[in-house]
Amino acid sequence: METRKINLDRKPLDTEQIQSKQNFQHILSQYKYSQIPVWKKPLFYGVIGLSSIALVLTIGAINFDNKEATNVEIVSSKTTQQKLPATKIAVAGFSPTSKSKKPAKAQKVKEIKVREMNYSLPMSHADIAPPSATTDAQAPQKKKSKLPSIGGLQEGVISIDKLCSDPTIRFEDENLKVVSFKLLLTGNNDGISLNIQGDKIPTNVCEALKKEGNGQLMFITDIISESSTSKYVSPAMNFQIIASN
Amino acid sequence: MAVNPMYHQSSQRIEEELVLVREAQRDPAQFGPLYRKYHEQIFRYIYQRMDDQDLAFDVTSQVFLKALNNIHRFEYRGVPFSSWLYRIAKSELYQSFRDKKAQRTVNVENVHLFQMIDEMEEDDREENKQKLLHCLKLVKEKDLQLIEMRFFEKRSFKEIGDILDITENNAKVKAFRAIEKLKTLFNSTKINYGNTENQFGS
Repeated sequence: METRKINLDRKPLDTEQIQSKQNFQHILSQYKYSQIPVWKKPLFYGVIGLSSIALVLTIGAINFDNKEATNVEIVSSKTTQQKLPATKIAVAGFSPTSKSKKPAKAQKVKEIKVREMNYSLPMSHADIAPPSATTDAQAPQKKKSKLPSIGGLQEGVISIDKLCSDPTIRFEDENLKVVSFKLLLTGNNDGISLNIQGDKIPTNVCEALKKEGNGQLMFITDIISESSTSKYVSPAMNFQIIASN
Repeated sequence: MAVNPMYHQSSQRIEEELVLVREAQRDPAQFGPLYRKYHEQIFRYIYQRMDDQDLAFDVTSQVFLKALNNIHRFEYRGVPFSSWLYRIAKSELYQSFRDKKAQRTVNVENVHLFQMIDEMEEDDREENKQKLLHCLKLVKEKDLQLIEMRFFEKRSFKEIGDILDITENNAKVKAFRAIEKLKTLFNSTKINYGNTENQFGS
């Protein structure tokens, strides 16, 4: 039920009392204020200012999150790319000494650029701490090094014999296995870049190295490895090849 | 029944008023004469329906501000400008009730109550007055509006029609029905008279 109040014989107001409350100027000023466009009112700037600050902060926060997420995405997309073309070692006709392999050199330059864009320059092993675990599931593997090695070496000088007798890239952590990597050879003459599936340096590369002899530089980059739970991109390994111990 | 002379203007006066309205439409500062002319009657209309005097003045100001904001929409229909103001006042008044700013109040004078009792062909005894006051609390809002305007404010059916945006005849019919409903309520309230008496503390 409505709550109505009933006033009986309330004292009426006289005209003078009512007229004393007339204030047309106040009404007019209120009207003029209401006619000001919203974007000209101080309140508008307050609201817009706060909204803008909030928007900038939100965008900043989103970008920060995206940067972190992009690194993870690059790892996974790179892994897929390298699996898809089934890069069956294009070593057929591989000859690091051949000066007529201009297209191979061009390819090398191109691939190095791509690598630089995504990963920046390969860093020294000494500068890089072992990759930290990204998920809780990897926590038990934390203690074992995730740095790859060939013949027990992670970088530096390696003899052709040592390289070719045990050409497998391994990890201290046995759960990790190399899936693919990129091999860059800068010989005394021409260089070459190879995408290799698996964890071994191909035998025909060894043969080519033997032919070339001392002084070559070998970069093993984009080392993709995987464990039962996740995938990693390991830091590059840089070697100088010598003919023998 | 008395007639509100401010409302029932001659057609010449209405035409003169229209000139003021046109000037106000061109320049809002020219709204002053209309404001001064109608401020009191709009205030009285509002104050009749609420208890708080200051709030009634505030609502009156809102009515004129709204009128000034919308004066470019005013269309002349041959009726006084005040009927348009009354419609705005009614809208603002009920808005203040909905916002719980004001309490709906019926302000009534003894003399008007006894006139109503007389209209209902009842004896003008004190107990009938109390019963009628109780019925005014129970009657529907749309009926109360008509009863208030017709019996407490003594408005003509034409003025009621203009304020409620209905025809004069329709206002007559509605007012008649409203008083009939009040009569029915009045007669049925006899049974509960004891309660009614307690409610009003008499």
